[in-house]
Amino acid sequence: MNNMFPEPIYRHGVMRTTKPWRLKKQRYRLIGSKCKDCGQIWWPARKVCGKCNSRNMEDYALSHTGKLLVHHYGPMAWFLDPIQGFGVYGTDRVMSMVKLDEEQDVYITPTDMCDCDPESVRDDINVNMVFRKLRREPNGNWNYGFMWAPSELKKAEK
Amino acid sequence: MRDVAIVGVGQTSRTPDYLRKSDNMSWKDYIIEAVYEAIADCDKGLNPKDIQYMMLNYHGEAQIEAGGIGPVVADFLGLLPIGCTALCANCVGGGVGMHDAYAMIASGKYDRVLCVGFDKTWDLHNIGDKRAIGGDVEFDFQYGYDHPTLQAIHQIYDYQRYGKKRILKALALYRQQALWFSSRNPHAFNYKSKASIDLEKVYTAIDALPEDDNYIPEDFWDMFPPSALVDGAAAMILVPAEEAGAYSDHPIYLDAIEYKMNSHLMSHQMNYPVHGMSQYTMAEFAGCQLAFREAYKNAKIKVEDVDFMNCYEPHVSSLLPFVNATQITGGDDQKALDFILDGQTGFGGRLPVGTDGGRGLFGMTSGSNFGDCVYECVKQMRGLGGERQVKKADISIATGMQGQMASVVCAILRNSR
Repeated sequence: MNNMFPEPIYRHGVMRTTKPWRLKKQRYRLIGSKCKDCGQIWWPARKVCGKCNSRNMEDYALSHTGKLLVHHYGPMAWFLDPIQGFGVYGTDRVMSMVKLDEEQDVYITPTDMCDCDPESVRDDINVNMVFRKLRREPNGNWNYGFMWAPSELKKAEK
Repeated sequence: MRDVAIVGVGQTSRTPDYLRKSDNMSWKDYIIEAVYEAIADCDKGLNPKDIQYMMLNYHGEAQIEAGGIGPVVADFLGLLPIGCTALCANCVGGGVGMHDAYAMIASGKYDRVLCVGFDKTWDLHNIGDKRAIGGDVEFDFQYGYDHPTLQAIHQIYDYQRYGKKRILKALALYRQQALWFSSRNPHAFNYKSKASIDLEKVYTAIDALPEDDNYIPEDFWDMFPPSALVDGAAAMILVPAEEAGAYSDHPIYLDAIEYKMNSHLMSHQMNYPVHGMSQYTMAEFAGCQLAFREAYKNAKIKVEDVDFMNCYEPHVSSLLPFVNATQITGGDDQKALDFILDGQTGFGGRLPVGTDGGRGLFGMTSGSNFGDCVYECVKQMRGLGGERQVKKADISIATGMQGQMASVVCAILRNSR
């Protein structure tokens, strides 16, 4: 607060617009890292190889297809309110983790399944990465990121 | 290296009667109560001014007046000018503090170190932040996944791996055991509770669920007393083992304490390509396996020596890796689940677990979870367990985990040298 903005300013300490902006390559295009020394592939992208400690890393475009490892369809909040700005697609979500179609085992951080009937989702189905709105910032801006859609649906669209 | 002993423990009560006063108590009051109980617990006397260093912890993530609380706490405890390390490691912070206190005593740097952990959720500036992470800040949380939602995914993964009905039955049975312990613990949230779990009714309901579907009706959970997320503090005082007799007639010896981490990213928990970790998925919990292995080695014990354990276990996906890591079933996680289903973690079982009522039904206080486990182990090993006193209490394990299966501290406690 100061003379120009006397009212208390409230915002979540960990929900800054700059974070998704800074990570847009990873969030928009699923860019990870590959170690030029040992060949290990990483998601999310990183500066130091966790396997051989090399700093000789390069961007690596990960596959946009994979298999649904595990999912849970349910409300996005239980005993606490939903995280501010989420709930763009309603209060329930299909929380999912995916194993990518890569030679190495690469698992992707949880995000949602979309473009399908939530009740029809089954583990082990093939999925494609899609790009969707994720969250509305308190200032009105949209955050974007990847989600997953059943591959069969993708084929049908074509 | 010197051997290390615990000479005093303290804990605030988590009973509803006590917690009803919480509007009139600050987090500072909780800390004072736990610390001065620990000092008084040194039955041969300890002058507070003789405490040389303090390890202080709380949950973290936008917690109370975060940043620089060490001098504040040392001041209101009357301990100035001692030094303090204030740390945050979610539910295992008390273990991390104890781990570092152990090193300080063992190395000869200090002779009397106080460890204290606390939480007072409802004094938070912003409760929305506290629930926040439980995972990675830039991905999991930025994608809308907080601690409960990550936990939900983990639970479903366990359903896949172990079978939904087995997991739910283990949860039900363990909850019943925890309720038994909790209702007999005068400090527990469920002390003298009239609540009960009709196991037959629960098992019938579980058998009626489809195995290949993650769906569980909402009213299913109404058959269980809910976990108590409550405020409080726990404290302990560590000294060199050879000097322990000067402070207490009944010191408890800390044979080993080990701290191991794996990534807090759930995706990395499924496969971390490093030797010694790559064989574990998130269900087996690499940090847990590695901490136990190292602790056993350093304490020179085997699973046959272990009499009981207090750990972080409000859900089966956390109870199971701890039981498995004890090696009670030779490291076979499916058999570890059978061990739980066989009732062996209850009173009179081979390895009683959660003898204070467990974190869920004793009262879960993130910053003091580990300290609460140590408190219970020490009381049991001194034969002060009352109605819930376990038959044999020579060697126990106090352990806990951080956030969404991120790290584990495993402490091996021994009754005599």
